[in-house]
Amino acid sequence: MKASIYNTTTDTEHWAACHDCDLLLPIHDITESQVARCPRCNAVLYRHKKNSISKTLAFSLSALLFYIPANTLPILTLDIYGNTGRNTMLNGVYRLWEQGFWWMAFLVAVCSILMPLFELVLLLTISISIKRQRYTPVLPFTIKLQHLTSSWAMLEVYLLGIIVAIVKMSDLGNLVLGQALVCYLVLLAFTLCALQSYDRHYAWQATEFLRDKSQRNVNYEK
Amino acid sequence: MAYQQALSQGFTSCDECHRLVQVADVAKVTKLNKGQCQRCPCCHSVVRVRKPKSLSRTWAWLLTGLILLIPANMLPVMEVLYLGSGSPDTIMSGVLHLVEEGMYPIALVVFIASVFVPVVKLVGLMVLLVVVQWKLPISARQCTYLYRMIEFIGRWSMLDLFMISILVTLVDLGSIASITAGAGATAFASVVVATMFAAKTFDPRLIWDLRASIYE
Ligand SMILES: [Zn+2]
Ligand SMILES: [Zn+2]
Repeated sequence: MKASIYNTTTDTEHWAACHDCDLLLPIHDITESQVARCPRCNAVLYRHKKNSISKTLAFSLSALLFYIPANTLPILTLDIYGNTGRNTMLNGVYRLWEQGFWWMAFLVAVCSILMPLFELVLLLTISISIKRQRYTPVLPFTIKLQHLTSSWAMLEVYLLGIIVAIVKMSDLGNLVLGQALVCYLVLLAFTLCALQSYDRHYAWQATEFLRDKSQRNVNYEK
Repeated sequence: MAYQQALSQGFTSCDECHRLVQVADVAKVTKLNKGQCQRCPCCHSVVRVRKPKSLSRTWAWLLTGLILLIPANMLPVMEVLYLGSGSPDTIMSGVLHLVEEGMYPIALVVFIASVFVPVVKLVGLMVLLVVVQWKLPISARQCTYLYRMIEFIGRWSMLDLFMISILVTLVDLGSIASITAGAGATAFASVVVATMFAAKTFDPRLIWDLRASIYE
């Protein structure tokens, strides 16, 4: 599947407007690993990603395999005088809820548990339906939703939280890094790879192409 | 090189798929300048020439953030209960504790994420709003860089929240010692959310619109 088959003849498809400064620009075909930037404000307009859809599919699927262990198994365990406190991503939310901080519990749940899962599932659905060359009315909706989730999924910030907690608590007692820390790190790495290889621009082009194709087929059958 | 605003030529880019869209009625749009209901031919989302009510919405979120910043810094964000007696920690005293214990790199990280970043975001957005509203002659390119930086650093403020959620589960020794979250943390979480919305509702194209006459 090459990008060129999606080009049609409408004039608006050969021009673009920078999303940060509204500069009117002609679109140039860029080769692999090149980045098109706005000449006026230096915003990244689009970049060419090789095998975007296959990579996104592979990475998001592998990330999902590690999602449940990373969330339910203990990431850190602290042992003080024979008492152990275990941290899993889920029970952090539960403890905050229990203490009556429902707004914080909600935010932590959304940003570190729900949105990352949602984002991965959406990336998987998008890449599968483009890979199978099937147009479903859900496809545009999923691409829009993924765009929304991306600013609220903060798995990488949670890593910083873990590091700070490790440093703060290491003097207090016997701090053990749990096996879920590895799962979490793998989950984080695969999620970042999936996001890195995902190309929203291309996903929209493919969607439009698939939609036109499905409409043509319907007409033909009539 | 002649730079042209897409809007002055009757075009705009779709926020969702970045496709160039011809705006139906240019005269009407330049007059109203926002909130036109027209659908993108590619993704069918509503095409808006500029983000609707960008300035007033950003001001609203910004002021909310500013007001909440006061309780966020005055009230304790977490409390360490040790043998029945509690020692509340505000954001600043938490950082100072880390400095006293000689954990300078971590103290710096926490300071940047929970004090520096929210303040920089609020001040930076305020500068951008003032520049747009009073039409100040400041480099539009630098303003755009500032906006991009604000957008990028925003999420890292969540560090404090995640750290608290980890600590409350780790230190759980019943009556001997435990950590509970504090009211300040709720306020701080709201500051982060308010500033993220403020950054989202601001439209950087407004900075360049001011200078449109220069390029034409
Ligand atoms: Zn630009
Ligand atoms: Zn669109």
